Amino acid sequence: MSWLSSEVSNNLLTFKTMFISIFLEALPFLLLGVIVSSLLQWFVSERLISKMIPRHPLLGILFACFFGVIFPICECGMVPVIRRLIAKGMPVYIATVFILSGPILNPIVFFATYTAFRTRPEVVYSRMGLALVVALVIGLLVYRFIRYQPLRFSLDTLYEEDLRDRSHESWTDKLTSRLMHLCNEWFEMTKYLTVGALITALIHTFVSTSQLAAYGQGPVSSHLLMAGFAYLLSICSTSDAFVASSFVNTFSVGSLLTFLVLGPMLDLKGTLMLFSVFKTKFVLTLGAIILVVVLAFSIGWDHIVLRSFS
Amino acid sequence: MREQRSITALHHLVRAILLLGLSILIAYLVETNNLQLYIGVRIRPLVKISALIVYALAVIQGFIAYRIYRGSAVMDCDCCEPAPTKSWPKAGFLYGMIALPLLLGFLLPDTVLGGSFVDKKGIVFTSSIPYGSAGYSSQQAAAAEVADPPEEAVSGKETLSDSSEISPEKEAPSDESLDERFQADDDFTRDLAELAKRIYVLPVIEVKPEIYMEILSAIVSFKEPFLGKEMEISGFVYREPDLEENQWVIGRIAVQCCTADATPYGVLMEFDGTSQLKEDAWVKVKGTLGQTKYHGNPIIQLEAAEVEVIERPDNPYIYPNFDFLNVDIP
Repeated sequence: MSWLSSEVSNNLLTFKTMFISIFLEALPFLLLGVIVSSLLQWFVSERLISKMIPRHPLLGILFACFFGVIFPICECGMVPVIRRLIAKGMPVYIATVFILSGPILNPIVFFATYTAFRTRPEVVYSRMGLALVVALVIGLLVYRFIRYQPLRFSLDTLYEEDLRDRSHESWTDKLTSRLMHLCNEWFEMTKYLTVGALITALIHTFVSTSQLAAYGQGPVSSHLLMAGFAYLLSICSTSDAFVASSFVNTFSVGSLLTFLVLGPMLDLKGTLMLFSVFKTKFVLTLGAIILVVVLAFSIGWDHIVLRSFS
Repeated sequence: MREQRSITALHHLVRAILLLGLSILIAYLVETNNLQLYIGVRIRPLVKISALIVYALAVIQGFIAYRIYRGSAVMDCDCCEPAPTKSWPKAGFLYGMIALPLLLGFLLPDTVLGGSFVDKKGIVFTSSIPYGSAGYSSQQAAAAEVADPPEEAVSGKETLSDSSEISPEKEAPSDESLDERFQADDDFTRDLAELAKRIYVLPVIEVKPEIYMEILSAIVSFKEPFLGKEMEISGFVYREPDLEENQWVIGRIAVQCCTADATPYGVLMEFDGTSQLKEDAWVKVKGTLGQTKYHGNPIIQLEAAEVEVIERPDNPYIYPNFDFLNVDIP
């Protein structure tokens, strides 16, 4: 590397470390998601899905909020599963709530947040409570206001092969064809993941978070800054609590809550993954709704409850 | 028709090679013991299992490519996105994106995050270690200039009156005096207090990498009894721009899942012969614990007596250890 100046080569190597690390870390979860998606395709019928989901929208949304408890996986694994469930007839507002609440409202994240904020249990409960409320509100907004068909692909073409008559094929042919579809899905998802990991790695390499801490105590600026961090850094929901706890003396507790609630719901890597399911217009609208609702609730909670206690 | 078939076969072959490359990359990282430079201890087994699954997928893809090429494949599947028979520019982008981590992984050397990474993140002076106890980070340096100066809390405690007690005792102190010294209010601080008692009786506190953050947390939480004790710690040398000539930081990077959540922690060290120290060099430092102020806030510091340059350890990163009371303390 001697032909590069030391700063350039340092940055290049840091970038490489970040990129490979984010990519490899997401790999198991993405594979799991793709495999679960295939299993759903084989064993779960549309009828079963529509029987499982409550008819009433509010009940349906509540059901989706707690789905993460039985399927504790973050967004890399969630997206292929969601796509398959939508194709099998799950309403979009339920899927949205599932994407938002799953990465936070699950036992693994609860435990991780609890250990990171052992001396401040209010952070754990605030995180879980806010995530539930925010997911509920956004689910209702999507149910009420999104009137168009938000999927990137039409349902008929997405998993078309199953419409064909396969009765004449041997089981090995069926199996090979299904495995081939599993591979196809993995390749497609990995494309979005790689772009997401690439941009995230660039941000980790070049954006200096230590310089921005000057705004860490402002009543609103700290929340905005933490929302920006959460979006750009795209840290997995199982480990973001530890990163947040390293900010504990620099940023107000309320703004850490913004970080902990917004990050798993909306971040750069996740946005890229969402593009594989939804139209650009829907992803942007959803992003804006998430940002506004999370900020409103977490700034409100911070000023009404957290600051009055401490 | 035949040409169409070999193009499809070629697509599947490219995919098989990419999948194979990915599983080889992971196997190579495991073999060279460098996977730990990318992935935290908890996720590592999952990544290893993924390598096996990816390898299986590569074999299946290769098999499909072969069957399509021979014309014996029944499935002429080009139904779902992205169909393997898509236009080459689009497919080229797809394969390029997946080849990128492979190319970077194989062509650039594996590195350990160090000083230039800490520059970006800002070092966290040992204290606010993931347990939310009192502490202070360099990030607050900037904050302090804008916001109100942080309250004088920890430093306010009187230390002069019982200064004789501070110096390490020759004889092992009784359990009662230890209990008195390390009092805890809740379960978690009770665990830390237990650790504090165990390390307090040691002649030299060795900060073991397995429970690095926990030992430093215990020291910082019960600061006073530890002032004047001997401590031994290893890490990489880091220099904050606004430190005194003879002040250095012994840094360590904590990783949870992957390096996206890597956070640098450090202990301030005072050493007069530091000009011979190079940034990013790994050192083992033995010295006396004391305290100093950093941007007006009290932090612990190590007055180094011996500084020894060492090889970088096999596993340079540290991980939080929830089971820290079960780690042997010599």
